[in-house]
Amino acid sequence: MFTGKRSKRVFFTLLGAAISSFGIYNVHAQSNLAEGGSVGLALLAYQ
Amino acid sequence: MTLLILDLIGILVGILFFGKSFGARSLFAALSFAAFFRLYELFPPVMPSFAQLPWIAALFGGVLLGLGEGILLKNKIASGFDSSIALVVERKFHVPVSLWYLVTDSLVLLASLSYLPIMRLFYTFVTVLVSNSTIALLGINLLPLRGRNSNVIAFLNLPLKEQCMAWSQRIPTLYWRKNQSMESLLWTVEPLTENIP
Repeated sequence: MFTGKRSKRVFFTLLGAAISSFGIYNVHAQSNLAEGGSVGLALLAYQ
Repeated sequence: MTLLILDLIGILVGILFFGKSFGARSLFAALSFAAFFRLYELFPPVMPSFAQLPWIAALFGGVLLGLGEGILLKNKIASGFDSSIALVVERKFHVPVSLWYLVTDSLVLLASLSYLPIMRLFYTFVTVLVSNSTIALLGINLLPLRGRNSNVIAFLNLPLKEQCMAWSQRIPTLYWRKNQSMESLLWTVEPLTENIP
């Protein structure tokens, strides 16, 4: 099912998602840093 | 909820330009991002709080975010509204993802001034700079790859002074690519979206 190019892509997707969500949760959120991008935009709309 | 709607809009715009497979990949990325976030939330934070050392948090967080996003973007995957729009803008208007990110993030942070203290936003801006530079670095082939072995040899045969010059001339291409003379000399700067089917 997951062979070659596709499994590579799935692997990199999981890796990228794992690293960036780790950064947001364990570094940004713990240190009270704000967010840019769409997360920041959503927060702005929420205020 | 707002984030979910934004992400869906972004992915829909992406599908219009890059087709259904892009949508499937990006939806999978957005879902796995949320799943990992949930997973981390189950446990207490594994990192010490850098609240007293915001510089460290800004730099470290920036590298992590840039690395994660950069890996996704390099594989032509968007994980949300902003990255999807950034990929579309790169494809349509040839603006590098990192530059586009820098502009949009700055605008969002400027708007956030309305409800957040300025120092918090300053450190976030440092994070934005670091993460976008990381994305830009990942997006560029720092070493010539596949089928460009002759370029590597040509590069290594250059005197050290010229090797350094080649490197220094590459710095502007982090934020603005297509430096034709450099491209023909040694390196190729591949647009991130070049190979989207």
